[in-house]
Amino acid sequence: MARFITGRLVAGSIVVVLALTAVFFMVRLSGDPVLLFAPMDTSTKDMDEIRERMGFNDPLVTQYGRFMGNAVRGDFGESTRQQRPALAVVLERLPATLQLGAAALVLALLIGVPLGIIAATRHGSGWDKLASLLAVIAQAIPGFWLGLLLILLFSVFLGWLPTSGRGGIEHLILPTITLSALSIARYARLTRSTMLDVLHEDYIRTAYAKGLSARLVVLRHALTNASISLITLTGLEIGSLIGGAVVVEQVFGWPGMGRETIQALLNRDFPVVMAAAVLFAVMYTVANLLTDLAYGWVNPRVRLQ
Amino acid sequence: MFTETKHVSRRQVLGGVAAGAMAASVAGLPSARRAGAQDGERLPLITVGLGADPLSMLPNSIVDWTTDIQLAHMYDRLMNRDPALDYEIGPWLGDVANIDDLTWEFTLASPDIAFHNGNPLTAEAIKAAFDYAKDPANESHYLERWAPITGIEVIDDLTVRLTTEAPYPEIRLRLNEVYPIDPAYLEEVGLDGYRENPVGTGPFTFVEWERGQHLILDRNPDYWRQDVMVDRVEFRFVPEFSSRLAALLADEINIVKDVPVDSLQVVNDSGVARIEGIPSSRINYVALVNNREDSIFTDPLLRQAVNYGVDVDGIIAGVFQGNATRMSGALSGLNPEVNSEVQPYAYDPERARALIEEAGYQPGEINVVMDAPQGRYPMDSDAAQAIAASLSEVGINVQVQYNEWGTHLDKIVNRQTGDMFYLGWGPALDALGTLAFLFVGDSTYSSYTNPEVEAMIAEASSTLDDAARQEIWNQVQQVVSDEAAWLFLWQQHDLYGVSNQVAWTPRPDEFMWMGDATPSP
Amino acid sequence: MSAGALVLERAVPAPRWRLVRALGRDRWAAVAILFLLVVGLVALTATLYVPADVNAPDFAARLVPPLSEGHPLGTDQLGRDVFHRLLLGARISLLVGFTTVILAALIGIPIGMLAGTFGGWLDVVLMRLVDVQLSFPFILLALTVNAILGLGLRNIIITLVIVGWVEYARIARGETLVMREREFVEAARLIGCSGPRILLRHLFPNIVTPLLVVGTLQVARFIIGEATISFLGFGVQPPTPAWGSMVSEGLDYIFSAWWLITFPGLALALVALAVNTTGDWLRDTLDPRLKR
Repeated sequence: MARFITGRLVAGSIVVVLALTAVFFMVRLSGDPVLLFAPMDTSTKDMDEIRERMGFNDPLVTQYGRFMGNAVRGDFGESTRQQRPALAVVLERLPATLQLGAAALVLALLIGVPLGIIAATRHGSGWDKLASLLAVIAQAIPGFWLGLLLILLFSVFLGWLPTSGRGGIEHLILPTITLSALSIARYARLTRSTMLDVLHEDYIRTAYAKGLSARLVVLRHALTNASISLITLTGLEIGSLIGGAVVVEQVFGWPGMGRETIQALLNRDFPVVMAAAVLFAVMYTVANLLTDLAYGWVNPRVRLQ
Repeated sequence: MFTETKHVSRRQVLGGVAAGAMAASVAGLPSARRAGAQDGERLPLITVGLGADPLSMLPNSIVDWTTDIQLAHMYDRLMNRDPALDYEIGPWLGDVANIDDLTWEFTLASPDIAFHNGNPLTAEAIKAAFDYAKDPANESHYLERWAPITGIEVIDDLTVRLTTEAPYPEIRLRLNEVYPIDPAYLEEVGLDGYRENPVGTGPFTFVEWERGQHLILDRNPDYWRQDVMVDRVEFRFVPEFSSRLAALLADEINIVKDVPVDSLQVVNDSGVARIEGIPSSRINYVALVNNREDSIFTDPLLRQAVNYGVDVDGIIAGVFQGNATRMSGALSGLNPEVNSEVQPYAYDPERARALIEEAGYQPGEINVVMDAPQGRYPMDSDAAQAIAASLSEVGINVQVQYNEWGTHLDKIVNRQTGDMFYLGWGPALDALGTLAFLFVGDSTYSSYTNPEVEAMIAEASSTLDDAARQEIWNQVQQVVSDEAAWLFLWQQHDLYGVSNQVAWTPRPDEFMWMGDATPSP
Repeated sequence: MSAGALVLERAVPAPRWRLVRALGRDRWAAVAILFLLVVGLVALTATLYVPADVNAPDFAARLVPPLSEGHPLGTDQLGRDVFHRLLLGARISLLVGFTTVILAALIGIPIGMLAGTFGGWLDVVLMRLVDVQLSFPFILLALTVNAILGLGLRNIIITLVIVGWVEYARIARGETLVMREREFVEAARLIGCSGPRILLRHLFPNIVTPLLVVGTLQVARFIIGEATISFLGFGVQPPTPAWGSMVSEGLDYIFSAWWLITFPGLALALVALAVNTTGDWLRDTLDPRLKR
């Protein structure tokens, strides 16, 4: 087990390095950062001096070597916009994103999985149709639109909840609902479809024959066997929640990493984008490791290797 | 005194303010609703919605509109645009005097101005600002901007002498950017300490900055200029415009900028807020690239045809619902140097068609790409489509290519745009910052090069006599107009949504200044 | 289980008449498919009956509310007919949704199955590739790719494919991992089936169910992905009337002209609903285990 984890951590580091490399060259292909932070009435000569001073005139490979050299020492450089360490810029946004993502994941599991079970055990019933309909509606509304509709309804018209910002639990409600809507739908659908598969397997019928109560059968056998798909989905879901948080943070003025990274991308604040890429990659690696451990835990047939 | 302004938690802050304001904040209720209820004089709190945080709270570092607005509430500038002078740059912390062609002296208005920590403001603080920006290690954006000012010498407590290597009429523009910083405090806490707990001489003192959330400032009771009528200012950061507008309508924030023209009525009818609009100094134009060989607009006839062929007034009425002011030439009416004899091109499609034929083209034969930004300027995307539609009627087929803002700038600077591109420029309040920057050889933003114009600008830039300089500016504007250097469009109107609890008048230079806000009568 | 079970568990392509008969039994699926056919037909023929100048501004008729004469769904801020733009938008949105899903599946499924079947270094390399891709959030990656490629329909599709293939790869791999442990795959291997044959004939039919579910989800997700990218300022070129960008443009008017966001949003939701309903029905009908 320890060897497995060590192996995965090594693999994870490789992923981080590769991701950094890819993002490094991609953001630099997106254009000239100096144009965006130097005021428009800066002369061409002054612009070039700024580029020279900041090292943007060096060959890309030189810049890459310099960046990686510093990065392994934990130094991602200073934000070109904010003139302070890039890693600090994104790190201070991490708790907000984690809070929002965790809240949404919990909500999605609490609603999505039961919804899927109900739909599967009453396959073809009104419950099934309703669950499917809800799931589809959640998938068919863009997050930014849903968020704004919720703001309109609960903040502007009813005045119950704040429109934006982070603070008490009342600030968390609307962003969490917005972020988890899509995940709820996906959990419900996947639970339903894999449960349907499993419910028709022979051993479930056997279990029924043995006389256990139907409910236990469903929960013990079917859910355990559906869980491999659910775990796969959760692994993906963590990624898409972090991705979805980008938009939700934008709409609700939630001070998270995604919003900061969008700003940095639009402003071509490369050090901040790179620092964010590292954090995202690390979060992803950890989530992945947990997913794989969970595979082995629920289904010993999948050997950890 | 400084101990009061250091960074404290939200809870501590709330504990420390007057009961009325606290109740409002805790309940998440709008600040200003309770304005005047307890205190007939001042607003307990005004909340301003902005799209982004300040980039730094150490001034003289970063050129950025959002940052500057927030800094200006904590720090004073050396000179400022003065509403009483039609927004020309006038005295603020002091005034500048011209000693000779290469020498200027700036003198502080009073020996009694103090920083928030009690330290007196002296000439050393001005020097400290320049020293900071001019040290390359600090990577200040002002390093290159202030390079023409080569010598800064403290003469006495109130006076610094500034020297330049060439005559430098733009010096007031630069002094409008300088915020003195306290050298003793800087010595004590270092740059990072200063960034964390900024200390200026301005009308508001720093309370707390929660990144991504808000910046809170309190009234400086010892402010040296007139007392401000707001006890507390909160800048709230909400990146998405629709959400800011929702917050205004939910009465959570008091002021937002750039309400789209079709939402004006919604705000005015909301019962909680109203629209305050003002013609901005920011101008919009379509460059007709004449300084790139492959551009069809090297031909002045076609440039004129475009100006005759676009129904600018119709677009202002249609797209902007009247919320834009037509420009005659390259300068808006807000510029003191504007040549009022320059007339706008009349909408005359017949004339446009004739000019196109004179240039040797058949109607419908010309295909042009126009690059345009999306969401950068008011209604820019719609206006660009309307311009294209207008031109197609006179036989110029325009394909609009929309770009993300960074890409747009890249393409302009690297001369990769189509033969036309849409751009805004501002705050454009004087000929120096507009004509003298845009119409010289290496500027791609105007994409118009004319040696005759350049020669005149060179002459004006080194002419210190006002009348003589104005004469040259008049000629420049006439030539640029006759030559149809651009498709001249409009000044934008800045449209603010303002809470009904607040009396506040916007300024044309896009500076959201809460020092002038008062409770609604 | 024996080789006999192997035959049973392999997905048997249902004869066409069985599909039609199954459709007759599921009203909703019939409606959904009919709806998709109509939308598809509209997408193909829209240019025939939508006026050519549908994108030309008409300021005299700006923001006309729905149910007005000549404008059943109202007009937008430039006075353009929303109904006509919706019809044209069907083409763009279906193109975005289906093209991206198909391309992403064509890339992702083989990669995932190869990795899952053969394991070893191939699995390591391919899955690291997936990891690198997935480690940067979908929407940020889309923005970065789009910032490099520029705005436009083709670039949106490329962007979505680049960010979309990994989901198939991961699901395909996960399912393959489970399936390859099953007896029937072992049996196929024992009776001497070749690698590719096992993949195509035995594995693929058995993992197609979850992939189909993912695929149907993806169509809607990608159409909405286009809307989200538009919302963040990297959309298709106006005046191209993609439903997603119509929704994000309409956001500016959510307080003043509700119809601008509602109708394209509704169109988008209905298509998503229809695609998903069809997917469910296909799944129920094609899955041999449910037929027993």
